[in-house]
Amino acid sequence: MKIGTFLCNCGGSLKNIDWDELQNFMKDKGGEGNFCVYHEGLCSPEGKAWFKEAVNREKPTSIVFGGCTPKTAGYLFEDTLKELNMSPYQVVGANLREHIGWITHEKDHATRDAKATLLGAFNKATFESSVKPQEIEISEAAVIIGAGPAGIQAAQDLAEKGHTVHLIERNPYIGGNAVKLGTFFPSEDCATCMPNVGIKGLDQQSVRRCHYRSAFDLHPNINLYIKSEVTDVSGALGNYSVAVNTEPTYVKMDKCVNCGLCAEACPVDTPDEMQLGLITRKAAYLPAAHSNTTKYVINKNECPDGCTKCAEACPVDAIDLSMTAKTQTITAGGVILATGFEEYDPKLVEEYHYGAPGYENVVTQSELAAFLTLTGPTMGRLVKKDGGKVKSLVIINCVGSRSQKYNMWCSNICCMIGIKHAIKIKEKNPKIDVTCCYIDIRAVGANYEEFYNKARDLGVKFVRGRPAEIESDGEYLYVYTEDSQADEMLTIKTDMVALSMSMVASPGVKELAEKLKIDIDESGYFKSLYSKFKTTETKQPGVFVAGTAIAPADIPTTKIRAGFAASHLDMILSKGTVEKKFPIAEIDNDKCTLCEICIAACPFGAIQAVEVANPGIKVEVSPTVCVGCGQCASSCPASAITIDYYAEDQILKQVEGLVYDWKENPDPIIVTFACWECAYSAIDALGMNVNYRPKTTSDLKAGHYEIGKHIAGEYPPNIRILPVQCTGNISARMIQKTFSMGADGIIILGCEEDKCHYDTGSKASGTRVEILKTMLEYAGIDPDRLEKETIYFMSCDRFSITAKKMSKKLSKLGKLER
Amino acid sequence: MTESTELLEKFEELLEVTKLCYQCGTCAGGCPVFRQYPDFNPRRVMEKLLMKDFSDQIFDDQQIWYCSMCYTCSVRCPQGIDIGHVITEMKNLAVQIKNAPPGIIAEMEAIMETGVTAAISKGIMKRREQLELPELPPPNLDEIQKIFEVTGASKYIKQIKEETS
Repeated sequence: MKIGTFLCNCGGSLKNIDWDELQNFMKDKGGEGNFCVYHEGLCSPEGKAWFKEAVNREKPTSIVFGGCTPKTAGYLFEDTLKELNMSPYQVVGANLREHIGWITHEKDHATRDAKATLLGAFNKATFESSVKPQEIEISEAAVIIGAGPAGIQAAQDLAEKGHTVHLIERNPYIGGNAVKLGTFFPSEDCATCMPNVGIKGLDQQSVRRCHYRSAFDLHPNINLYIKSEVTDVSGALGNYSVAVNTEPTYVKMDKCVNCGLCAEACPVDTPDEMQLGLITRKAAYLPAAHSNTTKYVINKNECPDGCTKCAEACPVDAIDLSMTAKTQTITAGGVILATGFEEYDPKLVEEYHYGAPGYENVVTQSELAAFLTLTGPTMGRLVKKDGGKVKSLVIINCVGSRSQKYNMWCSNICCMIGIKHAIKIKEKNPKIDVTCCYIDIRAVGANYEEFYNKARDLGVKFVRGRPAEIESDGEYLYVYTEDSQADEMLTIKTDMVALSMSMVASPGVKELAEKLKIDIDESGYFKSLYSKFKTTETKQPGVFVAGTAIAPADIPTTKIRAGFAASHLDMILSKGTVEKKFPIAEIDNDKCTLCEICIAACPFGAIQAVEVANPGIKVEVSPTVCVGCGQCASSCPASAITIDYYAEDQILKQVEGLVYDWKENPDPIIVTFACWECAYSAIDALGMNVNYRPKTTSDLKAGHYEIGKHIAGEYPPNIRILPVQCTGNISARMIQKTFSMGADGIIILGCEEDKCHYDTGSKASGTRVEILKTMLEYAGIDPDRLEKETIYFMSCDRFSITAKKMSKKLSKLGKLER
Repeated sequence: MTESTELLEKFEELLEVTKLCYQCGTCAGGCPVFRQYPDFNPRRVMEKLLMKDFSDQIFDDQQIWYCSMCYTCSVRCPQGIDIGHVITEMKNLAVQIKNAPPGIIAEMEAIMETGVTAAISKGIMKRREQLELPELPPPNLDEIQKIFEVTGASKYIKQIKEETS
């Protein structure tokens, strides 16, 4: 073990630190062989060469770097360390610039804080890093659940990139809700239109292709499973095992030529669910006529006993009525959830009487779409359910959306779907009176406002008001609404009412989320890893969400989300391996008492109890899933889990250095555990605020910008900062020992609780602090000596405020008696 | 606690629940009074609360007294705001700051003294007979007056009368 300390004075700018004293202080630390050197610009090309030469000459096993924030030093020296064949985990940074040099203006204070920070880092460096990069082989295949517009797009993208894609669809047809919508905006053409990937046919350069001739299912990399559902998922990123149950269609997909003779021979007539039950189909039928990728299917539940007419009629021998359901297990590297949405149950909004006798002509938008589609039950004619003429129609928006009573969210596309239908009706027959009752028209996509204007040009009436009730006299419907722009009561007599139903997540997403160890948000949709970007990622690496499985969206957004998910999954899968460069949790099975608290503490499901020959059961960490946050380690009652570089004894040894002067220091010392993510950066931001602000002559004259003075952002001396991977890594034991080692106050600085980089870490530390405060009180220690604050870069002044407050409080309370 | 801070707190409470209102007009669309009498618009009442426009509408305005307290608005409101309750509370506040319309005071007085808002005329009795409705029991004046006493209504009526005379 040989530790080399490199000090850097950032071009000589950190004048408030006594560098000679610092160097003398470090010189005799740690015994034989250790050394401490000083430079004024280590990140310059000359500095780096000097650094390299010194490391080559002295050959230290660990390096302490005292200078700028390790956040920037980390990447500035990344290449140099690589050349020296050293891992970044052999280096411990001491932030003498952002946290001290740019903040504390009194030389005595600054130097003392610098010594503490440096000694803390040195202490940590006395532990030899055992972080070894691991490479784990992964499967290149992907499973996509749901074959609507999102699933199709993701499947095409991944297949084109060369991955084997297993596309699993619950329905006997693909295309999802788009099949029911007929046309879509703002292009005003087929909703099922597919991007051309140029696999089959002559027009390889065209922009798009019809669903029926897309040859999507013929793609050599795509395996399509219709009438199939995922029944079980096990494994983790890189190696998922997905069990899929496939119900029989009784038709051999590869043999069927879609001639339709089976349907002709079939004696059964049953209401066609795709046609609102208004017309019938046979038990042998084509589920979605304009979706080519499916073949005829037979619903055996509807067949008369022993009937084999379809099989007899089939000229190509494609029908096998003895088929049974089968379950198969697919291995895949990652999963994309494209499970889509369904319309909210219109019966739940009671005042519109959907489904009640006399209210047959109150329909949903997707039902109205069926009336307006050529392949629909009326072949595109808008008629009442009994076939009568429709002379007027009222569209009601936000049914079940934007409501505390039903669903909180805006369903995003209903305004435009309503407008799309209004335009379609008006273009075909301008005499039909169309009124749209809305709360707000949300035309937010590209060309949407123009689309809205088009509807108004065509004479669609827009009434601002959410109808309170629909009444029926058996022949007409009466819509009661306020026209809130005119302050008038309106009673609209109409033939038909279309409800723009709220969009809710498909059934079964909850069970799927449980199997995949991901979260569901308050709306019932899959929860994204992060709402600003990483929208298609989940907290489980390798599990992605696409399309309307995240939140309601139009087709363009659905496609973008799907492409985004596919491209990000491709980035993982195409490498063939998952590389883990950072430390992850290691379990000492001799110490482990099998209490399984860690399994519950891990928000990512990275820890499992597995069966082994001896001693029967063992707790194991999945290396591809573990992110090394340490929430398991801090909750382990047996201290059996360690995260190298952030292990409990390493951190406590660092604390020992940070509070080295607790006896002789007349002032109370505050130790701040800062999460290495947002929180540590936020403290850096305070230093940057002081140093990087443009300095005007008048400000300088007024005495502003003198280091540590008058600037929102400074904090008092004797605040010693220690980075941890996540505040969830800080155990109660660590806090208690930090107090007993010499700290007079402790600040836990985490990221905002709902935006924790490790899901539940910041929340866990918040709860822990609350409990510890009560315990401190019992022990006769003022609970104000322990605080938790959450922060991000742009809210960095929160730390300044908390630190000042605690410093003031501690100066009243005095040093902690030990 | 003084009466005025109590009033203010009560009022703040009302403002808090109205915050969810986005003026969709469902309340107005379902309001049986608004259908017949467009000057009373529950959405407008909510708007005044939202905008904190207390100048003319809230307590000076007599419109809230047209609310028939059917609570249809409360049932229908997509945001789950109990609008009927809000309006009722506003009426209570108006009474407390002595801003109830004279007609309402007169009605209160009539109930206190006779037990009914309007005297049961011979015509009414006859119509009830025709409709085969039972005879109305005589009002229990003791009970009514006790209620007026306990709730402070009788004291209130006395005060108002003294102030106006």
